[in-house]
Amino acid sequence: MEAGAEEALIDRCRKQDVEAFGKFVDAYQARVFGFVKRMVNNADEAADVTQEVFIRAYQSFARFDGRSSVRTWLFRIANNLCIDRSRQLGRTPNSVGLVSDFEDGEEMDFSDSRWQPEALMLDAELIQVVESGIAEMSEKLKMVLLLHDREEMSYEEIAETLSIPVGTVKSRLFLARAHLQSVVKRYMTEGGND
Amino acid sequence: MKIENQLDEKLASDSMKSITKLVKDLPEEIPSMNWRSQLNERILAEAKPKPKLDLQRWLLRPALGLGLAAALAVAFVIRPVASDSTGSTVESLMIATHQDDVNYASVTGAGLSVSEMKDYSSPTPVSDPLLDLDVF
Repeated sequence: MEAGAEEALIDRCRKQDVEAFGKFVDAYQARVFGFVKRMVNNADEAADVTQEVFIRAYQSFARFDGRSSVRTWLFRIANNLCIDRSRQLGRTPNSVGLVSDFEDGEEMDFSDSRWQPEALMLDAELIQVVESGIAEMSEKLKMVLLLHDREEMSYEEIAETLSIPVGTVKSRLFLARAHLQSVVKRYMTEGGND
Repeated sequence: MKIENQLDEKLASDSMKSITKLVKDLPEEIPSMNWRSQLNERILAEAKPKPKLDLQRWLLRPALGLGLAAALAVAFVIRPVASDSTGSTVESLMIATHQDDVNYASVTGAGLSVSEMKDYSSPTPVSDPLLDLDVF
């Protein structure tokens, strides 16, 4: 969506224009749903949470001051609702947390000859592997990875969305990617190329 | 600062970029039409103007009830009691007085009514000595 058109749409949404808000939903529903689904690891729950995200956005659009981008604002709502839902359900943190396997002094070796990232093509099986790798991560790593690598948010935008320092965003992103890399590497060396 | 620079370098490495590409290329899933329809219904429900006078109505409702009860009480309880207490004598006296007034007015024209007339045949003594002409 062009910047001018988006501005006009946002202005109408601020005035609680239902038609304009429908277009706003059209523009963001897939991205928000994808983010939420990967955060909660359940499609039905993700559908409920995503609806709630848009209802909250509609209710509070009049208070959106435009200091951050509308995308940052929307994903902040989504992120907060995912965290709330997780707390309500009393979920335990996932196995891959902030303390990475790589933090015990082991140097990561990305020069493995079997690891040929340029040759990676996303087939159904690899998609499943990557999705599982993301699902294993803690929420903190997952949200940074998804916001940066999927939503293409800058470090600063993510820092603002999650209210954390930029340095923390970078370190979490590194840990998240490193985990995913090890998962994909394992798949490539053990099972994927049979 | 050095650590952050190292981190930047690692994040910008090719192997990390390939992971970025994998994540970026994951298929996008669009929510179902049913989901969208439910969302539209919820948004429309949110958009409906909410009644602002709810509180006022809550406050006015008992007052209106009391007013109605008072009006009914006046109509059915107080009025019959009043008519009973006056009795027919008072009513007939009022009618007779009215008829006298009408008759008197038809003869003498507008002026004092029967009830307002005084008997001036025997003048009353003037109480103010300054106005008493007999003194001179």
